[in-house]
Amino acid sequence: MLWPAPVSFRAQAFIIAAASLAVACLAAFIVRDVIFATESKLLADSQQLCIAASQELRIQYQERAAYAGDPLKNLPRDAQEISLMGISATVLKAYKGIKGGMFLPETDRIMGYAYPTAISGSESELTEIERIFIRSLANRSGGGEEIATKSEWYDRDLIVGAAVRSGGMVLWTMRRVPVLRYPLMGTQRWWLAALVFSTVLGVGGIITIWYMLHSGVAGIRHGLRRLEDNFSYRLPLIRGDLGQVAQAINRMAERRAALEEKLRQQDRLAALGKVVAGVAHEVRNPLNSIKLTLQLLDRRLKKGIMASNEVEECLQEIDRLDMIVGRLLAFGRPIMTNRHMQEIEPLIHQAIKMVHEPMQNKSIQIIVNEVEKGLGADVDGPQIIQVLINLLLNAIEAVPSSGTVRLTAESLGPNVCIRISDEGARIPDDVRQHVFDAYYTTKPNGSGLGLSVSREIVANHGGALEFESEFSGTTFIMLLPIERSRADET
Amino acid sequence: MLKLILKRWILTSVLICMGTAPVARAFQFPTSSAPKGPDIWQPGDRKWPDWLDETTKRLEKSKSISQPGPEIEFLQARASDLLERAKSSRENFFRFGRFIAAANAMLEASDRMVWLRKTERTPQDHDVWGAGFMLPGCYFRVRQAEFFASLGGEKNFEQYVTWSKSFYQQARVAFDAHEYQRARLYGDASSFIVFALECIAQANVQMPDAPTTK
Repeated sequence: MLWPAPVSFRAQAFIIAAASLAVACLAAFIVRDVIFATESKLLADSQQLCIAASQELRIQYQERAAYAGDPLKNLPRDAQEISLMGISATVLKAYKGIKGGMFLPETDRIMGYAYPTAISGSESELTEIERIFIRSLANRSGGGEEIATKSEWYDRDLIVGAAVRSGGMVLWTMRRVPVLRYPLMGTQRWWLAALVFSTVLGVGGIITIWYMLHSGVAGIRHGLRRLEDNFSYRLPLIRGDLGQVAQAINRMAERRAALEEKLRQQDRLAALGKVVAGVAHEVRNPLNSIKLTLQLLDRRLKKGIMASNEVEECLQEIDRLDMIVGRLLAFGRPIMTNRHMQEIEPLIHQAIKMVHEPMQNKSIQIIVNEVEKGLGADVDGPQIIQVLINLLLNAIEAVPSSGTVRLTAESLGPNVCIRISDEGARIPDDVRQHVFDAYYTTKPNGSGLGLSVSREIVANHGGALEFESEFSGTTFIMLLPIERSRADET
Repeated sequence: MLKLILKRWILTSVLICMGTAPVARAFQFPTSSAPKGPDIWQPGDRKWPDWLDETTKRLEKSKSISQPGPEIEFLQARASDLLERAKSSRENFFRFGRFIAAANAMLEASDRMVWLRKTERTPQDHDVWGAGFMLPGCYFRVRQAEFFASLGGEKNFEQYVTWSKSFYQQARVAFDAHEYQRARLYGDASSFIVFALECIAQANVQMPDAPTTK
């Protein structure tokens, strides 16, 4: 099963925001746990150190007393201090961060105080709070061997201490542990403010990103839709990376428009070339004929022989030139249709009459197989006759002598379907795609405009002209809508 | 067989008893009626002329030994110097007493050196516990030497520290060689030197007032 990945920017933004919040909370919990764990370990270690230092202090104090008598006996206070400090300074040198000494409850005096691992001179001095702590610690220590421990919060430190009694003397040690929690708690408001600020900033940023992405993508989507309908449309300016995407799309559209224009120009040039070639070819023959006839006429006139045949031939060729130019003009300008509802059968028979002469020349028989009675369509009669003539002439030319051309006309749904089939050879594959191209012809005397013009006429009627030429022979199929469509009406 | 077991049992008991005695001594609690050190270290209520005479006589006696060697020469010289400083401090009985105690400590150390000459350098099975428990204390006092020396009052403090360390090292060597009696004598000597330094510091340094809880 695939993970249902969110596709909308809103869902993605929500997930990112939720994940960010969760990570922030998790980080806060982890930091809190680490602080508390570190603090606890620090306190436990400090307490152990104090206990060990107190024990060693007691051992050395007792040994000193056993070896050289009570260090306090018969000595002034300063001398006592030196002896006791000699013990505590030497012992505590091995305990980093621990200060200690002795306390004489009888006189309420702290003696032999030493802090040999103090970093600074001010640090080595006992504060008032520490003195109170020492007194309290000393009172807690019993008369036995047990070690009393005590820890109290002072300022932003936790003071940990241990004390043990030896005779009338209390041997104490203590350590100030800077508590990690307090600095955090002291600046808690700032932390909280920073957290809230960063959360708001993050959520605001996510919403902004979501809005920019959403609006950008919506703009691109809308622009692409409009671009499909109108290729001259350009996407609006969008800020950010999506703006670059929009600009790229605009550049692509402009490039495509330029390419299409170039292609159209090339097509026009190619068509013009074909037209020029066709016209040159068409015009050359009558001109040659006129030239020869005029040369013959010139010789006869010089001999004094009058002949009207040559003049008639010249006129015929001029007519032919006129016809070629007329076709050219007809192809170039839009074909105007004069349509009305009329029967198809008369149009067919009229077209067959028009091709009677070439039929007879090749002994071709045109068989009208089936024409529905009353079959009619909304067409321009003369133009449809022209199409039928073109198709029939092509069929007559394709059919060998004494062949047959078949014609059927029937209704096919909303259309009239006219089929004209010949028994000639199939159209080669390389020719098939150019059959309807203007000025494309395989006949020596063809203009290449017949089928092209015919298709244009049928298309102007809202119909279609196609052909089938699979195995042998060719069938041209003309579909004409029986009724005019709304588009054609407009 | 029974005889052998009995013999070993008696021997073991004797060894244990010999070892227990110094241990018990080492862990003695100082109380208001704690046993005092030798009277010569702490003058107490005696008049100063008595102490001066006794110490002078002791120094002269110490100097009478033949071929003293560098360590005894150092100890005697320091004792003599301290005695002179005691004489010049007659107006201050505490200072006088501290210098007398220091001089006597140096003479005690000198005596240990003399006794060492008479002690056989043979491995001993007994007194392993006593020496074993004593040496850590000596080590602690040697460490204290630097502290007392740092308090001033003695221009030759470096020599005191050096000799105390040297004696302690020799005590360790003797202990490792199972010469426990020699180890104790060397350890004692090193401790006496540190004690002398302590007394000198007490005599010379004016300590600031101790912190009180009131």
